[in-house]
Amino acid sequence: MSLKNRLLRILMALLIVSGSITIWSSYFDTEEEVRELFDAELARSARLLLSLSQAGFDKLNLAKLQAVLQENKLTYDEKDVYQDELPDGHWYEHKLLFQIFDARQNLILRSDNAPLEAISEKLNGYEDVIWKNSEWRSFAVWNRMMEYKVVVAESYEVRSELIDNIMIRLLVPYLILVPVLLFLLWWAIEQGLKPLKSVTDEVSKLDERHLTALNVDQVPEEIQPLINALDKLFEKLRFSFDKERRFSADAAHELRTPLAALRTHVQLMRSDSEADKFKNSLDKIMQAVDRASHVVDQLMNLVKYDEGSMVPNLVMLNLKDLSVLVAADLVPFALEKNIELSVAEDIAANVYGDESALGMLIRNLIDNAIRYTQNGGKVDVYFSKTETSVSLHVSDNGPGVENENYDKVFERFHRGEGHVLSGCGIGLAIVDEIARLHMANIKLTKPEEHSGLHVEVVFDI
Amino acid sequence: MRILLVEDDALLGEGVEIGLRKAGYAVDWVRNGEVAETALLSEDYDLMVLDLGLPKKSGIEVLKDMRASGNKLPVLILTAMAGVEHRVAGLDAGADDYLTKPFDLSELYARLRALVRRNTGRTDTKIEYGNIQLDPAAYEVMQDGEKVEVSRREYAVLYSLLENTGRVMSREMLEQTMYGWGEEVGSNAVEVYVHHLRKKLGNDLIRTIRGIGYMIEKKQNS
Repeated sequence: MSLKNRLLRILMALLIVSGSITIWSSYFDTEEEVRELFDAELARSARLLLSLSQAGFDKLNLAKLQAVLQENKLTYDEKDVYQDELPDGHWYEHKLLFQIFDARQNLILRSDNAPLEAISEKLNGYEDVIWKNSEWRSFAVWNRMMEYKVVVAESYEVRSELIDNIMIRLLVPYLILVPVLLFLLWWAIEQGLKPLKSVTDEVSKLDERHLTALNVDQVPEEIQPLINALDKLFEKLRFSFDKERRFSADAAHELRTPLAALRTHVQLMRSDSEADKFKNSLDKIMQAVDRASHVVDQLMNLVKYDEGSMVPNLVMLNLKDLSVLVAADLVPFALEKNIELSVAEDIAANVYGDESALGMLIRNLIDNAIRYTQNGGKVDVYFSKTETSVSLHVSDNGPGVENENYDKVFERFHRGEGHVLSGCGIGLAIVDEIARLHMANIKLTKPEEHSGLHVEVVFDI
Repeated sequence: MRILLVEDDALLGEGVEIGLRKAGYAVDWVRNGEVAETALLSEDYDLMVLDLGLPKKSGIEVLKDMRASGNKLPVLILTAMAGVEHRVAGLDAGADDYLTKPFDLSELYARLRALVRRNTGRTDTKIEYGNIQLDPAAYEVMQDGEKVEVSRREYAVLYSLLENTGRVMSREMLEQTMYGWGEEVGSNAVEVYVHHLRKKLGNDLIRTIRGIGYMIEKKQNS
């Protein structure tokens, strides 16, 4: 789960729980306050009625009073239109009633809507009663001399409607606010996590060739330790990559001096007048030394052009001129094998590239072609162009490579079968690295007219 | 001709010392940078062969210090460091030439000869190749003891090919040597001069390497 989702879920849960608690507790608060208020009013009206009864009932014609009360009753029925204000009263009047009893519990006066029997059995105080299938709150009170008892009752509907209204007024804004709040939270989290995203972007830009320290602005202190740890890790990695490269370079380098010594001494022996006796062996030693030197050189080249260790210095250069330069160096080697080496002059093949790296690529391709082609063969270097690419071709008429081995030749230390001669199997691996450095593609095919290997290096322009 | 050889590796040092002696040089072989500096102060040398990875004081430092003190002795660096950047560093420090280990003794001799020639401005050594003799002092070419008439431009081409036997000289390189002789060069001029030279000296002397350049092959044991 993403950090964002996680945060959003936690905050959402907190919001809902805290909201529910608030609403739940305000419901009970409201209910309590409403009860207190209405109960007090109930008691007050009961007491008012009681006082009136005590003060004047003996002088009044109770029957007439009852008749007048009946006469003045609300003309609308309780089941009529639910309309708060009616022309001559309020329909809530149906929800309020009173009864007055004498000392012997005889009903002496009642509101028009009140029943003839006592609504509350209780002698004194509050009671919840069921009347006409609904809940009522009643309050009974006696005067001091126990002459009259007044019972006032009120339907619970009045109270619950009030509470419901209050609760609805509380809930509606809450329900509207929650989605708005959620959206705001989502936005806030997004903003809050931005530095994390910029760190992620920085890290994903890195690869093993360019392990530089992270470049992140305004790092929040929570992420700083992570960045520091990453930077440290990168430094360690860089160090160990460098160490590995240095080791290969140093090893190759250290081999050169003893090889030079060996070569020098063999040359001294060969120049001696008695050398003829050992000529064959000395020549073989010389070949072995040269082969070892070649391996050392190629190892160093591989380290040099290996992924990551080199930053190419790109300039516009002509592959043809470069090929001529490189081929010139290799002509003596070709002549030793009586191989005809030629570079086509017809096309100027301009590409962006690193001069020394591409020189090394061409050198290895030509060198390889010469090495694996039989005496008296030929090696042609030529160029071709399309609208989007420039190609370097090195074609020989040697034994070629089996189709299924086309991939293998780029592996390190792969060597063509049956060739005991001189190759060390790194040449094409170096070519591969350099081509990759230039985002060039290498295609291997068989030349059309004859046996052999045709290598095409395609540079996009 | 006295050479100071500075090489810390015993095996290689001994080989090079013997080789140089055989080639007719008087050799002083020292094994570290400090001793090399002492030797430079106490003796006069014509040449110095300097290894770069030396104990006590590196070859580059020795070289920089001696150049700073005004010593113009021709120096050839011997080093196990391949790569253009190392070569440039060596040449920047004041080296005159550069040879990477392992090297060919005859290549070392040739470079040393060229250094002396460059340093002393002497170009009077005649170049001999088979039946052909070239005399730089007189701009003369002889074949089988008889003088062959060549133009200055033909001479320039022949000279640089003979100076670099076994190496292919590209058309550009040859053109440059001709510029050096104060001539404007046409686009296919090199072909023309080579053609003339072949007519005068025989077809087999100069070899065409198609698309690459021209060369005169190295004579065995020369």
